[in-house]
Amino acid sequence: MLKQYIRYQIRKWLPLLLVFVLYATFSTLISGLSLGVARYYGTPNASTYTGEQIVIAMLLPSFSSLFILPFFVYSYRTSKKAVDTFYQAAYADKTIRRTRILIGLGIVLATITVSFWLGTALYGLRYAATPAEQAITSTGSSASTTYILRNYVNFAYMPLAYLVGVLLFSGQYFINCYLVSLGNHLIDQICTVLFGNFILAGIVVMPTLYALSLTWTQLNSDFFRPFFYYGLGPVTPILFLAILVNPLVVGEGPNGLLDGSVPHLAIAISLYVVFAAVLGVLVMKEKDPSGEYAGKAGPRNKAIAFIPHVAGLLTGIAFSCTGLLGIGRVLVIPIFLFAIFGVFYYIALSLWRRNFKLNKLDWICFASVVGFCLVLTVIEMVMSMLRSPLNY
Amino acid sequence: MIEVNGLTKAFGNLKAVDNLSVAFEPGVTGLVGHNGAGKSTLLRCIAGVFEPNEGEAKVNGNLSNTKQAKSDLFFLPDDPFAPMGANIRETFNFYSGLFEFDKEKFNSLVKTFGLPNNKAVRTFSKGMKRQLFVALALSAKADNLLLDEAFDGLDPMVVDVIKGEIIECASQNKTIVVSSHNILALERLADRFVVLNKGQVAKQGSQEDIGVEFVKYQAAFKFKANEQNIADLGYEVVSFRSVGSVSHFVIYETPGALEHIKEKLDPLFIEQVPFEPDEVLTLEMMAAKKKEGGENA
Repeated sequence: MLKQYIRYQIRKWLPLLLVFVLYATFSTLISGLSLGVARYYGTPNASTYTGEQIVIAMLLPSFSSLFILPFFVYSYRTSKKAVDTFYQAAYADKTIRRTRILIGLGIVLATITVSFWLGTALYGLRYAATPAEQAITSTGSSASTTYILRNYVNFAYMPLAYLVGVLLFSGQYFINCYLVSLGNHLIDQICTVLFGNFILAGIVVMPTLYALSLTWTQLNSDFFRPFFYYGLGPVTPILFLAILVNPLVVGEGPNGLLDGSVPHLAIAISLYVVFAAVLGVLVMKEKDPSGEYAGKAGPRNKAIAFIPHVAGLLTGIAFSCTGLLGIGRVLVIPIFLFAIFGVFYYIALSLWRRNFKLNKLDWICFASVVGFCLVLTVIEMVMSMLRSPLNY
Repeated sequence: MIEVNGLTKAFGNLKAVDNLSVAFEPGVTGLVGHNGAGKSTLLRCIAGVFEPNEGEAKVNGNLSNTKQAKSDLFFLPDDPFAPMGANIRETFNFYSGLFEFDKEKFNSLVKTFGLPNNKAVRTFSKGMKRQLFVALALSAKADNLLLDEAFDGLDPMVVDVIKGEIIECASQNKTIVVSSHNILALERLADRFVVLNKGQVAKQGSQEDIGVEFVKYQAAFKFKANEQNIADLGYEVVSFRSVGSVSHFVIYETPGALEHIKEKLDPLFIEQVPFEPDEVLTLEMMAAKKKEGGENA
């Protein structure tokens, strides 16, 4: 029976696979043929990235497959009718969900595989067809000339980059599946995916940033930049991959990874993959919520009501660490930013609730978040004054 | 065989099924009750769709949320799921991935009902959809079938055909529970009835057993009679209705009641009349309500 279900599900989602693969092919062809191969501004060291465009070509197909497929996976939970059927099946609930998650993952990986290797092939062909040091285009006004730099391109590392890409895309897919699994209604699920990545990232990054902003006068932004990518959801793997492909492909292979901010990137990627793996285990092992919650808010997604407050808290913490941005040294700016934050928080909350009259719980949460962030801001300002009192 | 022991299912503060215990033996059992009595919730708890708050349901001795129990059961909800754009064959293929069916029987039933093979199921009329899913349920290989509002939206001819199929199915030692808010729909089908009211079993037994404690009288009095006249004689009146000069009233059966009323109220005529089949259920509900009202007072 299960085999029959898998066969049925694959047949059912085959058009989805075809749409994404065709979209990936089309998008990669357009980007692969239209983007420049390399830009050279006089000296080889000053040339910009080259291999990145393979990854850029993957942006739209990978984003759409990562964003859309989790909704298909969990569609059986959003309708009362579907729940009546699926939940009574003998191998409900984990087996059905796992089957759907894995078929969805297959479609995501097929999409990025087509994109990645087609992009690589296109790039390779253009690379091979262009003599070294030969100008491809020249614009009179900007006087910039495009060159191909043969000695910087190392295709041998593409399989490695692809494998890292598979980990990253699979990771983001599981993160999105986890977020979608929190809701039993499509609107709730979309909200959790849109805000959830930001919140998950914020839970990890913002408190760390705040703690460090109190102790470090000059933070190395290179260290933190990759962590900020966590919050971008389906775009995160592309950003990581784009930065990774450059030193691997156009740099000096693994040696290039040891330079500059790349070790930070490797740490960020590793943590990201571990974090995604934990959520992946959760979505594979979790138990479906009882059938009465189909299509409506359930016990698990009561948490959704608190999403704007968590987002508000994280944004508030970000505003509280203005010292990080070097603008907290002027007293008026944090206060101004804080007021702006409060107003936007209230407006966002009202829009979310579709009512400017908030309920008691919302007001309590609002006041708690604003009060907490106010305390953080004051601490931040005092610490800044102690560090460099002359600025005040 | 399905057993339910002390099952409670609440939605917030509302207990849809309240500490309910019942057993469904092989054969056809009619599960009746007014809208909101807890029939569908009970069936969903047995099918493992809802998790009960308390108590348990067992299918062939296995807890309802286990693989063994689910393999032995097929639940047809009041509004079943059909995959988007699927025709009859595709719908059958989808369900075959989740449950075991007798394909030949399914095809023969579809042929009997004359359902169109190439149209999308979602474009079917309510009755056609019902016929398709009843055909699917009756061709399921499971030993236990739960049919929620199986005859809803069907014309009498089709209902008769389906009743015949259900009886044939039950003859293979299957346990079939058919729920309905209309006891009349289950006439000549169910061997046994379970009446639900407010999530509890109000009554159970054969159709004759249900309502046996009530007696219905038809009478004409020399004066304009009302409920109070009967109540004043010491009888608990379940229902009282007057049409013109003729009054119909139902009381709890009491030996000698007819003679006592004749003696005290001197009616022009009075006789005991039989209940309409669906009236019994209504009476059970009214009696339960009156009892509650009395307790609250």
